[in-house]
Formats: sequence, structure tokens, C-alpha cells
Amino acid sequence: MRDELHLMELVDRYLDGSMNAEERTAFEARAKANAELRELIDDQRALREGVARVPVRAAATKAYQKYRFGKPGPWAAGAVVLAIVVTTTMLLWRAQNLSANAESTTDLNAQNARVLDDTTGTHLDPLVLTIDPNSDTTLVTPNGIVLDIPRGAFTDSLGNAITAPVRVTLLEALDPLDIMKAGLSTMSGDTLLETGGMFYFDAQVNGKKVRIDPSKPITAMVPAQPGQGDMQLYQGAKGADGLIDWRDPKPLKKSLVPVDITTLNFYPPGYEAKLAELGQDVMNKAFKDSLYFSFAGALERMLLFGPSENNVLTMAQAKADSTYSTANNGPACRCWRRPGQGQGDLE
Amino acid sequence: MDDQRIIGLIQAGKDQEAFKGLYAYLPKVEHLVRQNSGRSGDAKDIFQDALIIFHRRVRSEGFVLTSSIGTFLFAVCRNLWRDELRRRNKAMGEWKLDAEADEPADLTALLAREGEFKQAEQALKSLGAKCVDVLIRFYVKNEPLALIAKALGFSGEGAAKTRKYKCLEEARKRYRLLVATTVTTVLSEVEVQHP
Repeated sequence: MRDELHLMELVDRYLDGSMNAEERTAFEARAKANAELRELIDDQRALREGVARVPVRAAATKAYQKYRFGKPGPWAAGAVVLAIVVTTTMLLWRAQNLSANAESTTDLNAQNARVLDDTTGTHLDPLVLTIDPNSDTTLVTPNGIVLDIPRGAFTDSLGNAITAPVRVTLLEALDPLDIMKAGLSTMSGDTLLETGGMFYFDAQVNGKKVRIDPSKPITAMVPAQPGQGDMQLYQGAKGADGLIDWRDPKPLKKSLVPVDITTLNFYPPGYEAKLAELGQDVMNKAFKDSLYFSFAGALERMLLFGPSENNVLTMAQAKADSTYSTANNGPACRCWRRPGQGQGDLE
Repeated sequence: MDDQRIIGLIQAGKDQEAFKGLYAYLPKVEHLVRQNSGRSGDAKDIFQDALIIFHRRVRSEGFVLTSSIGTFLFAVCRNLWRDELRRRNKAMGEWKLDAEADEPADLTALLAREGEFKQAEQALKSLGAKCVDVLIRFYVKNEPLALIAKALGFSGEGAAKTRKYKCLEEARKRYRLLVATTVTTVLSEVEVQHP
């Protein structure tokens, strides 16, 4: 190793505190007389702290993504079916509570973005990534657009499903500043639209644009501000002057709206009505739960064998079967056999 | 999440979990930044820096929590944002918040040092993933050189060590460059203020 590198190693040992007292005194005396060495010590200390910051920053970035996507907020959903993929799409929405599923997502930041010809001049950073069309893909963009691309969503011009990796390009302009920076307009004919944000989606295989199978639509969820009423989905057509005319408004499809699990009623239909009829206290949730759970096994058997008069018989049969399987060191689970059928059901 | 639990998580190395809890303070910082000619993206960036600064504070020897974490983060963010505005040459008259009584007295000195560390971090990151990987393994994870050589495909311990110091040497050059540029900027601002 060169002398300079050797000196850095010495500084490391000094900063680690792994020098013995003698070495340390000598080193400190040397540093006192040598401004260059003092500077090296300072710099190396800063660089070591800089190294330590890298994984901490990565953890903070991940935590931010979890914080942001784990938080139920106002979201909008729209099922987007694009006949031809290359369309700039404006999403306008109805505020809904829809939490994004952060699982099995591809982190777009991790991908290297490449600028495409048709996205230059927008001053927006395009996200370019390659996805496997043979499996379901969920993409979450930095600004929070969630795209669900089902397996086999892309076809060629003949309608055959594409299996080769598909290169997807995404642009998003959700806040007014991005929209202005990108020079995007919000005109539909001569009418001015109020926008909730715009995004651009393009998919190609080997430089050729692909189509979306109409039976497997790609779903897009876009973060929304509350209080934006009847937003609609427009498709953008770029004119010769470079301005976009927004056409063909479609209402947004209402997707699943999550509700708080504690507000759900898991009792079977008519359960509470029957309790009231029997003169029980239907306001007492603890009692209702207790009674319901006490029948859990019975309900399971009802579902398994169907409500019939032969239940007693089938249950006896099942019991015999389960005894049989345990007696023969069968699987750890109890296996029930449906009468007259060979297959076992796991309980 | 209460403060002691957050500190416990950081000391146990569960940074991500701790940070996730601390992001609850972000909206307050966003508000501050928005009120002072910034965007929420700016707030996100300075908040991340504040988290890193807090992290180092917790991991340093003899750490004692002198104020609530929220107060500390907010004070750090306020200072960082003020510096950022100064850097952007915005009219300082717009700044509505001056230093407050609850700010740690040594905050300015602390932030100056942290600013240097951030520049060191930027210099390192510009070297590329492999250098950063070697240095993290060596300095943060304290992996032995033999293991580093094996994991990253160096011919031996000696090669790994040379590579590490070469990375460090190059990082230092870039770091000096960054520091020099910052000093020049500050000087030119001074000239503008006092012609």
C-alpha cells in the first residue's frame, strides 16, 4: 500500500481508539506539528460519519414510504381501459377512502429512469422500468399513483398475449407546480377543466407499442384531495401545436371501498333478529359474540355437510374416519371424509 | 409512539420502525415549510435530514434526551429550512420564525457539523455503489476484511483493504471540492450583502 493509504489506516486506528497509549501520544504529537495530518483526521472523521449516514437515510426513505402508503387517506380509483396504450390520460376523480396495498409493489425509485423521445420537454422525470407480463404487477409511483397490471394484460396487434418483458414508461403530474412545469394544459375543446392531476402511461416491447387486453384492464388509483366532487376520466390527444386536448370523458368506476373492520357485522343473516325474537339482550355484544362462537364448530359442520337430517349419521361417519386416520399415524391435522367421496377435507 | 420507545428502537438498530413512528411529526414541519415559501417536498427532505441527525445523537455516547423528540426535530427542521432559504437567496424578511427558547443552545454548532457530514455522504454516494458497499461493510457493519473480500469478489484481504482506502481517498477529494464550493458560495453572498 502507498504511504498515503497507510496514513489513512493509521488515522482509522486513531479514530477507532484502538491505539495503545504510547502510539496515541506519538500520533497526537505528530498531528500537532502537522496541519495536513490534522486536516486528514478531520476529513476522515467526516467521511466515516458520512458512510454511517447512508444506511440510516435508506431506512428513513423506506420508513417514509411505509408511513405514506400505510396511512389510509383519500384515494380515488378508476378502472382504466385504454384501447390504444399511448394516450396521455387525465384522471379526475371522486374522493374515496381507499388505502393502497403496499405489499408486492415494485419500488420505482430503484429503477434507472431513461428519458424517452416522446417524454422530453415536459421537465418531468419519466419512470422507466421493465415488467414481467406473465405475473401480476403493482406499481407505486413516488407521488402515490398505484397501477395494478394483471397477468397477461398486454397483447400485440393481433390480440395474442405478450410474454416478453414489457418496458413501461410513466409520467405523473399531480400537483399544480408539476403540471405548470410540464406545460400541460387542461382544455377540453373550448372548456377549461379543473384537474386533479394527469398521468402518462406507455408500454413497449422492443420499441413497438403494445395494446391492453380489454378483458384484463389495468387499474389506476390516484391520490385525491377530499372535496373534489364528480371527477371524470379524460383521454388526452396531443395536437400538432403540442397542446393536449382532453376528450371522451368517462365516469369513474367505483372500486372497493375499505371500511373499518370493527364496524363489520360478521353474524350470519337473521342471527340478531332471532335473538331478539327469543327475548335475548341484543345490545349485549359480549353475549352475542359468546353465543355465536359457541356454535362455531356446529356451523362449520353445517357448511361441510350441508344442513340435512342425516347430519347425525354423517357426523358419526366423520368421527369414525378421523379416528381411523389418527390411529394410523395419519397427518397431523384431522381429516374429515365426505360420505361417498374419496377426497379428504382439512378441518 | 412515546419517546422512550423510539429511542429504544434506534438503540436496538430498528431504525426503520423508529423512523416510521417519527414521521408523525412530518405534517407540522410541512406546515412550517409551506408557510415559509417552501413545498411539501422540501419539508420531506429536511425532515429526513433531521431524522438522520437525531439518529446520530441517539447513537452517540452519553446520549441524554433533554427535550421531547418532537421539539428537537422541529427545532432542527426550522434551522435547516432557514439555512436552505438563505442558500436559495430568498428574501430573509419573509422568515417568520426566529430561534425560540426551546432550541438546544448548541444547535447551530451541531448543524454545522452535520452539514459537513452530509457533504461527506454526498461525496461518498457519488463514488458509486461498490465503493459505498465496501465502506459500509467496513465502517458500519464492522465486517472483517476477509468476509468483505469474499462477498465482493476481491482477490484477498489486501485487495479489499487497498480498494477501501482508495475509495476513501477519492471520496476525500470530492468532499474537499464540495466544501470549497460551499465556502465560495457563502463568500459571494457576503459580497452581495455588503458591496
